[in-house]
Amino acid sequence: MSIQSHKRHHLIYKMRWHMLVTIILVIMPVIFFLFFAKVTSITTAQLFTDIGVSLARMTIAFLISILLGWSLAVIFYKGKASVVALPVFDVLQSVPTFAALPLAVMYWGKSTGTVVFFLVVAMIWPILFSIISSLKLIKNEYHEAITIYGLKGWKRIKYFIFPASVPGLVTGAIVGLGEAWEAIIATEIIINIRSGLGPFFQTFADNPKITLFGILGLLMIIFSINKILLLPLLERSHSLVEE
Amino acid sequence: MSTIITQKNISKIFKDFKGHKFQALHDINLTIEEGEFFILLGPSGCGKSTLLRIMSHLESDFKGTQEYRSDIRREDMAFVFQQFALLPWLTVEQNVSIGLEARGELTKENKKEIAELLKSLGLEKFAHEYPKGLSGGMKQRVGIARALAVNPKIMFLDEPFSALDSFNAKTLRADLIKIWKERKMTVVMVTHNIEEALELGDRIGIMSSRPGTLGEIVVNTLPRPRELRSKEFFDMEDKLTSLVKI
Repeated sequence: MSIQSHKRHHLIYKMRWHMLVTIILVIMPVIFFLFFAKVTSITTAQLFTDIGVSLARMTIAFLISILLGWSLAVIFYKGKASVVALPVFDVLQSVPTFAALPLAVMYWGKSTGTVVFFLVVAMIWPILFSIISSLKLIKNEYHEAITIYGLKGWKRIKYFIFPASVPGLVTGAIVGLGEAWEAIIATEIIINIRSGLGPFFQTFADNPKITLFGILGLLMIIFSINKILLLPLLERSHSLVEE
Repeated sequence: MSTIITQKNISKIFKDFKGHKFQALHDINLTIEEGEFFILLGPSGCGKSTLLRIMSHLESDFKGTQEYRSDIRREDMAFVFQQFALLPWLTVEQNVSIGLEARGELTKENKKEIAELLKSLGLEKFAHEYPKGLSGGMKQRVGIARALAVNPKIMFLDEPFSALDSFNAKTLRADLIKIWKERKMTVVMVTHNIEEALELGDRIGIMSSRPGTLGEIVVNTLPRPRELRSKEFFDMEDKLTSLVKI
């Protein structure tokens, strides 16, 4: 039986106008892209497919990075293993990411696998190091408290490690996603993949109007994701560890 | 009464990051009796908290031997921290329940007991609050409730009142005495406050620093409840003051 959850919920959005802003932030990019398609005579199907495919690749890579980065951080943030692992991670994160691209193309071809691999390589380091930083900042007294009260194994992760890692996880995710937006366009163009935002910008590279609209649309998506999801999470995660 | 903890020739050396050694404890011999309220008294830096951490298994790297009575398990010990050490992402109720949750003993019946415990410590209105919303006194009440929730046979307290104002400290000392009498458990507490030591302790171990050694163990003969303004209390205070070396 787990610790009973209490009835008071902590919603990110507590007021009606927050909901309104959220809806506007979701609808605004969609309306913009419909307008974009009409003005530039691009089919909405093509436009939304390219956006959707890139977003799907981002999401998969993001989830892999979160899972992998968090697991590595939890395993290696302290103890004897960290003495070896942390310098290795530091060297690996300094390796120019694009240097690994030909290798990934050789292995996965011009596919979503290559793009996802590349995005993971771009995203995982800020996530990993940010979580490690969060975990290293845990007060020794907290460690002692959970030790003396015998919190071990899965319960130690659930009640201690995971909550303590959340601020680093969210901060790392924000920085990592920033890196990934840059990486996804470049990777999709370089490997010459068939669909996605990269090929979209490449196809219309000689059309300044479409390129400008495209960049504006991309900024709108990034802004909405930040405003709806990441910034409220950042605020909430930091208030979680306030004493 | 029987001996519940026996420490023989306990020494502890710390190393700083440059490798310099510092002897925190030197050749400590001490026994703790079942059901007593034992105080470790001394100035800051004399190693009293280190000794308490060794007793409570929080510090395992030391020289000497330490034995517990055969029926005492780790689960029979609880610890109250100077700075509370409440997990900020858990509510008061969840913090108090953490020991039982760790043992897989958070049954419906135990939840009722937790609710009773919170009520007895005046925390029932704050059960669903997070620690950051509480005053220092309330936080320490939560720390004490967390310790009591696991029904410990031995409770260790590391300067539990030093982060509190004098009014809160006075009330909590009275509560602690009441709890100790009701539960008949063994208490080992660290303090640098002579008056506090005299008000609470049955026996008071005087520690001195550089290196941390245990000097005289004073038996507190003052009758309970202790009269803090009595001549006997002041006489004992003078005696302890003369024994504590800074």
